[in-house]
Amino acid sequence: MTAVIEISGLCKTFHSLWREEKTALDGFDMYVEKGQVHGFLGPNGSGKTTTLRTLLGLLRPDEGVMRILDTPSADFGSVAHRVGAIVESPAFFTPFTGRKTLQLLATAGGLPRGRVDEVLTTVGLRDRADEPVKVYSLGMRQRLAVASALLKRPELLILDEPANGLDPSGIHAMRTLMSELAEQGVTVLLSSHLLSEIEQVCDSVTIIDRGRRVAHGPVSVVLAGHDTGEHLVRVADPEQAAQVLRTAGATVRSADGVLFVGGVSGPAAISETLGRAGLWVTELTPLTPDLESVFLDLTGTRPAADAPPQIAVPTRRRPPADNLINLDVRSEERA
Amino acid sequence: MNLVRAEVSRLLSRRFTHIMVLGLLAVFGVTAATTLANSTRPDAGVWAAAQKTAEERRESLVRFKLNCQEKFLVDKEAAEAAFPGGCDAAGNPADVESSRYLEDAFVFEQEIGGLTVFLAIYLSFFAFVIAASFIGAEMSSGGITNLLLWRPQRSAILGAKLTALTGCVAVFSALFTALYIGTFYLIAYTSGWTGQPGVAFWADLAALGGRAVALSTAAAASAFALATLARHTAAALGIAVGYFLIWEAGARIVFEIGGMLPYDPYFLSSYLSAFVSGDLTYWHGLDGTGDLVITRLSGGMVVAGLTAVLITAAFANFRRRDLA
Repeated sequence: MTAVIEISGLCKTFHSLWREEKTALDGFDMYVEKGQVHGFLGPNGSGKTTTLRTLLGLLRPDEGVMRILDTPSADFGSVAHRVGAIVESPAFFTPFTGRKTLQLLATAGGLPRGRVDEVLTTVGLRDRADEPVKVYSLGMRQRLAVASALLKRPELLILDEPANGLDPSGIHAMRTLMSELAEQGVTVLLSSHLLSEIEQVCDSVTIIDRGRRVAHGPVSVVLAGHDTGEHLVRVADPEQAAQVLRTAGATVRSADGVLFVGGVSGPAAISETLGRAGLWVTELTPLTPDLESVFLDLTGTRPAADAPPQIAVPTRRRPPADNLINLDVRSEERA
Repeated sequence: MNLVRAEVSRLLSRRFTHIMVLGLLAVFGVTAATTLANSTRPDAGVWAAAQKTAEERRESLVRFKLNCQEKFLVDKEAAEAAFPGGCDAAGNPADVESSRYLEDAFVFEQEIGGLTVFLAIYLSFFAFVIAASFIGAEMSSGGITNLLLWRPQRSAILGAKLTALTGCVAVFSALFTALYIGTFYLIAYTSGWTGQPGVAFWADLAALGGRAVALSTAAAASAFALATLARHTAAALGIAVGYFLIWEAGARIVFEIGGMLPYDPYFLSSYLSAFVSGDLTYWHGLDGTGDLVITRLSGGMVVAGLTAVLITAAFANFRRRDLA
């Protein structure tokens, strides 16, 4: 597959006369293949937006190599007409109407005015296009931002939190749009906190934490890498059931009268072992990891029972490479 | 070209631009209305009174000159002390015109110069504020980031904005100056006295109008540069207000109290004044070798140089810095 975005060893530290320097990116790597919808995940302050801004030439990197559409990022200008992007919540000049906002961009980009109407229809703003942006809701502004990114029929679409402020129907529409664009061959890099959305729409994913990549690869592979093979089991007598299962060689932990059973070949083995002991299961569910649980574990942001989670202070750190989880099938194949 | 067109459209669509233009028209309206209200077309009686006053003035000048020349014949040293400017310092009787003494009449030929200097000042003020807001709002809101995602050519983007801004300011200033001068000519023609302006007068007035346009354009370019460097409209306005309060007002007082003369060359206003109004004489040489003067040319060079330095700094900074 052809790489549309390649980032290697990207470092960025913000310096300030008045504040302590802040390392936002610390040797970050990312690889996005053509035609994919690629999810880009990370906790607040982990470096997602800094990565996108650096990739798009808004920030100057300290170190690292970046290529976009097979072009060094230093020459981004030569491929910018093929890239549509929104970074964070774009600021619009609010007295202008939605249509005027897009028309100005179309004029600057030498695009026909008819394209403005097309994208307004695509994002569902056609009937509100002649109202000033200041009366738009957050979700409508977000739709306008997506419209501005779509205006130049991009081959690569970079969207930073596109679902921010959207209502459920807007999120659904956005998901459908992503899928349609992917079917048309558009590569989409999607940064979002909506992990269920990412899981539904993305082919592959990169997870960033404190400026470093902590997981990457196809979504299914990332999830499989965190599959412990455990099953949730409910029975009338959990203590006796635990004992029977341990005797059969399974690993068992219990919480709130529920058993978590691992080290077995499958649910049938659990059912058979307990049935032979005269214990009848009332619930038997394989514990499949979802992206949220993987994300929380990898980024260490799972809320503790007794304290709200705090946003981590970025610090420069370079752990040994073998500490990283490499879930990139392509990389493994190459190796 | 597309970029410049888009930026012209953006500038002309801004509500702040509309408000400032309305403000400018309001100032103009008040000035014109006040002039019109205080001017009446001179009748024969008014002309007679003016001619009489002018004649008295001429006689007074002749007497002054004769008296002065007598004093010089008697005691040259004492006369030099009494008449340091010489016997022609009070003016030439032949230059005294009756129209100067017309009561309650707006005399275009005499007053349009001062009014055009006033126009240069407030045109520059409005251009400064509009320009600072035009780029400052985009810098602080992130609007310019949107544009850079479209055209990641920083110099081209900033250049297009500057070209659109200065072009619009220059064209508007030129048209407004023509309207301004034309309106006052009309007031003089209908309710005052136009005088007898000749070719030289119109050439001087056109040059003054041209300098007003140049000053307002330079003010817009400087405000644009300051707001780009400081990334905010308010910062650019703050720098301008701070400069005039702290340096032009505060330091002037300190120089005065400290007896540190001459201080005029240290103030931008001296050069602005010289550029618009003409050579500024600021110091009579202590050794009697003559006056020191800030010429119109040096005033213009300071205005152009300062604008060029600010614009260069703004472009250099914008090309390199991180954009949030």
